[in-house]
Amino acid sequence: MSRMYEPMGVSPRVKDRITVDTIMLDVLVALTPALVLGAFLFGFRVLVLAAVSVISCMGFEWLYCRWTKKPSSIRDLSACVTGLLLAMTLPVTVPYWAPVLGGAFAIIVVKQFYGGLGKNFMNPALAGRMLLLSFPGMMTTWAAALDRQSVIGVDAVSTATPMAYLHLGKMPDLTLQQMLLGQHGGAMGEAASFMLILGGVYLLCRRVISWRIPGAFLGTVAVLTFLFPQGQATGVQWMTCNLFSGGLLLGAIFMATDYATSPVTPRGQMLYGVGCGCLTVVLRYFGSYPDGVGFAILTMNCCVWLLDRVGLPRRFGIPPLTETKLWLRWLLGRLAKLRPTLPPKKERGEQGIMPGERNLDRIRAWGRNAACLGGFILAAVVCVGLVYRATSQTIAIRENRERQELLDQVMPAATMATQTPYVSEDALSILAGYNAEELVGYCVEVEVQGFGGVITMVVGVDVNGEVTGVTVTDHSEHAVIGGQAVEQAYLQNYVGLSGTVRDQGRNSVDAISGATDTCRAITAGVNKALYITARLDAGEVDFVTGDV
Amino acid sequence: MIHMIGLVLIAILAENMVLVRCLGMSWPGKTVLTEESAWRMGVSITLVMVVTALLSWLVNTFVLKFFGVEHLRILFYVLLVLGSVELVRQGLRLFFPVLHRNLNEYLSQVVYNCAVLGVAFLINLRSYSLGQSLLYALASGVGVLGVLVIFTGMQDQASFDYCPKVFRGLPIQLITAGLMAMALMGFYGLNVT
Amino acid sequence: MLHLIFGGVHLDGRKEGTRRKPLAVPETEPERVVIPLNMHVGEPCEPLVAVGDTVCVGQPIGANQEGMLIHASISGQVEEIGLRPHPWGEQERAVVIRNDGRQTRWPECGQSCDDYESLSPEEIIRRIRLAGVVGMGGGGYPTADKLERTRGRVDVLIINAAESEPYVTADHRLLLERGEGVLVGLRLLMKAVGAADAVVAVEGNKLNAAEVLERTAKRLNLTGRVCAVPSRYPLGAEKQVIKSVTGREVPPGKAAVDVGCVVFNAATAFAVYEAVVKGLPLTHRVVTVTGAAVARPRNLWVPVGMQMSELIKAAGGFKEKPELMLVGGPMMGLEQKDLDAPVIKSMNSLVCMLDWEWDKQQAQRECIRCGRCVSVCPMHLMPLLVDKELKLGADVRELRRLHTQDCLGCGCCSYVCPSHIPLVERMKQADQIVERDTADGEVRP
Repeated sequence: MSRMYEPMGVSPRVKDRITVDTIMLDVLVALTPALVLGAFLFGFRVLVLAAVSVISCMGFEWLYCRWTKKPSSIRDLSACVTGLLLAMTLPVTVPYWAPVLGGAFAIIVVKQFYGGLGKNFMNPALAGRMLLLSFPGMMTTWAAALDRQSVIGVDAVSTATPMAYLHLGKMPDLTLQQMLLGQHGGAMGEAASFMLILGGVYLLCRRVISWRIPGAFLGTVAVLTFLFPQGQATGVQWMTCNLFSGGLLLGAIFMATDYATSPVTPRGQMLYGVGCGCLTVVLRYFGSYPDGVGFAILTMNCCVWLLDRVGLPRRFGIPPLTETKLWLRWLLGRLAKLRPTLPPKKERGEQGIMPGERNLDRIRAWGRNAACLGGFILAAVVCVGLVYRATSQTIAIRENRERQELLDQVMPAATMATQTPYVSEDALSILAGYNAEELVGYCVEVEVQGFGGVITMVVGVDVNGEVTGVTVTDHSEHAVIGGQAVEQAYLQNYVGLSGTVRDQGRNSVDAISGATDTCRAITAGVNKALYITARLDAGEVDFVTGDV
Repeated sequence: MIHMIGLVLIAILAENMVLVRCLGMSWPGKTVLTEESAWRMGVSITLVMVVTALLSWLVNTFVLKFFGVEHLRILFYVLLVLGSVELVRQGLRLFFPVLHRNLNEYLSQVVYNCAVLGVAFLINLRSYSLGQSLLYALASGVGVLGVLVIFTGMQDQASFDYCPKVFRGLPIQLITAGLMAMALMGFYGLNVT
Repeated sequence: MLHLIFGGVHLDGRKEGTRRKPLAVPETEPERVVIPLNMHVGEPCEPLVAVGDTVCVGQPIGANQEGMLIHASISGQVEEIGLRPHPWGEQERAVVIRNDGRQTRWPECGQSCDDYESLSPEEIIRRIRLAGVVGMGGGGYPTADKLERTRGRVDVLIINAAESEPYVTADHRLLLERGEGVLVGLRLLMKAVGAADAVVAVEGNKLNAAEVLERTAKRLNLTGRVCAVPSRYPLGAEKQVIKSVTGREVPPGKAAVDVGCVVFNAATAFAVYEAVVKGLPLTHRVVTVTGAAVARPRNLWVPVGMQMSELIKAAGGFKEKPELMLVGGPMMGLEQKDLDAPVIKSMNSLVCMLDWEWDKQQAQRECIRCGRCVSVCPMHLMPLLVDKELKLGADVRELRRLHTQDCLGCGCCSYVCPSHIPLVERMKQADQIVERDTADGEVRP
């Protein structure tokens, strides 16, 4: 057989000039305009924080390589990029130890424990930021734009960011130009939308990132926010506001496109972008945190292997959808095997055995075990029953005492409370408080949605429509975030208010900074109770006859 | 309708049995969790959860409340879990022998999986209607299935052998689960209205 | 009408050195030619002459059982028939003819035929076979056999003048200067194979050639339309050209004829024209001699068998000693160590590079999962997964799922990898593992 000219399987003699170091350098260059504008808006502290973050990330990577006796990998600048990205997601008011802690977690646990560059499954910078969110007070104090912070101390007037408005379903009071140029509160690197877009264009031109992920991500958010605007805004207004506020641009252009944690297949990348976009919108509309971009990206990071598998490129020469059809056929084949079959008919009685004796045999075989189990159950029932009997009176007395205490807190003027036959769909129960035959007021138990879950509270409203007291009986608020807001010290502020309690201005209660959501929820609950009692007096609440 | 979707989203994301409520983590430890076993475990847990939800709602409404013996709830629910595992097992044996063959050993493991008991208690605590209970149980089961499958699939992508020797095995698995739980932190308090 | 192609990379063409240099015959005739008896796909030829015989230009000097013929490209005396260096590496049997400078033509050459429209397809194929025409784009497959095999089964004939490798400008100059010949060759091939449509595919950066061809076609009323394909590498590969021009994809394991297409190189079309219309056998071809090491890079019209040292001399000699010499381009070229190796029928360039022109293999780093290799592979493969599988222990089932046998060896993946992983070698390694497993007889789906 003669020799054939075959491709030898030798790599080409020319190479693209791009290497890992140039890629990281490009990302750093792309982030610089946003960082500089952030420094212009928020002060020199921004640059110092960024430097601290970068140096600590590189330091931790070097230390880890020393500890595990691996060759030092800080020369590929990826730790630099992680540090800078982490810094850009933080507010400028964080203390200096925050980026150090976040960087340590990001580099050591999230990146190096899984094998270093290219092998981690979760975005290190985002994971570091999420760790720091366990110090929520520190992470939610936003400085206003052009309120430049000094390097040493922090003295910021906490402002609401555009995301805070969007979270409530309202449009922030900013023009498009202000949003693009970052003249609003926000994290150090997120405020400068225009600079981030510039950076993104630079990365696209240098072919560091592909258009697919940011395109799919931003496109999905744009479409969903355009179709479902909240509040009074039009579709376009709401969409542009959402696109340029919060961490969306930073997340879509720099975080979601991180190589190791995003899919490698083109179709997988599109699905990833769409998934991130959907989760971001769900979190922004229905979640507790104002900005859900980080969590959306982290959740999709866990599914990247699945997206790569689903998005495997079509084999050259095979018509499109062939693989999908094959897979569907396989799936239907598997499901067809799950067809229910009728149980086999019982054989007619065998020789010498009466019908039903089989069952008796079975019962006899299990008899001892069943009897044992039955004995235990009986013993347990008897024990529990006895204990219940013994303690039920004590429990009833205690419950009574608790109810009395509650009444004292909620309606000090009343001495006893009884159930009213009123039923309202917003209230769990409506009690009436009496003071020696005279109706003092009503105690309404309502449920509201707080930050971490449902808050159950009892509001006492007297016959004049004024609040006599508020108590929270059940909540899942964070001990630090909402903890203060559910304490009596704060709830006292509601006593004496009537009508509709607002968030600010006349007839309002100042929210505790850092627990705005919880305070707002409690205000809503108080308003609900006031509204119900008002309708009660007007006779618009249902009256239930018979036993309540 | 939107309440149903909200309930499903909450059960899968915001209150995921394994990652958020930390129930149902009968961690394999030494045994390697393969994708197939993850699917089977998840499906068994879902089936048992749905049957348990149904039975516990019935027991709650017609037995416990009726006779006023709500203090015996724990006892009843534990027996219920045992009973529903057996029910599922016998039902599969009679009607779906293929499934029975595949899921038999996993059903035995579901017996001591506290996620199922958790579902029963939650349904009672929140006073869900029958439809809501079943939907919640199904969605919780799907959530557990999702977490198991994603965790095993991730071992394809992120090898767990690169960490320091002291972390290999169970520690790095727990760290991974913790990172996944941190990703779901954003969904706490999800409220679809 | 162009169809989108996935993948490929934009390369620095580096064709400025020879793009504008017209075809030239070397000023001094070669002293001798070394014509290997194995320049084609099939059995090597047996010599028809013996040492000491006098031969003329165009005289058959080698033939094999399958009808393949090799002709002398100069006149002179047969000096030696023995093992000589071959461009494909190793030594091969070759006929060495010493040039007597007289260029006598062999009198029994084929007759010229001006009225080629009247020839039957069988006659055309016969003439092509007698002329010993092979695929001149690198494949070396006997053209007559290819025509026989594909007769009646194709509807589109494509002339591939894409030439996406850097440095090479041979086909470009051929189109510009011998466009008429290429178009007549196209017409003859069309007739021979019975195709309804014929297209010349040129790259987007050779638009002057496209223009010249179109004007020539209109002026002489010849068939054939010109299609400009994107100038990305490796769109000159056969499967990619077919997809670009017709939109059809060749299924894995099948050939172009299975989608109703057949592809010929532009130089092959010209050789067909010479064979059928002029009655000349395949004895000369265009070779681009270029690279920074060469003093006068140019496109030469040289006899087959001219040694590479003579080529360099014709191009003005070496300015500096080259670090690397390639036949073909820098992406898929064969390295040449021995300058005594000759020009064969399917060789289109000799590139002599200095150290700043090519990139040595740098130290490999870990894969960072950037996915660039996936986004440039024209065959929709996933080289990073192959690399990962090989590192994890080369499970044959997993490798089979990655379809390594589809790999063209184009080198785009290695070109873009930022971690300098030699992905082409990895794909080849994986392919060998799968083939060995298949050869063992246990073919699993």
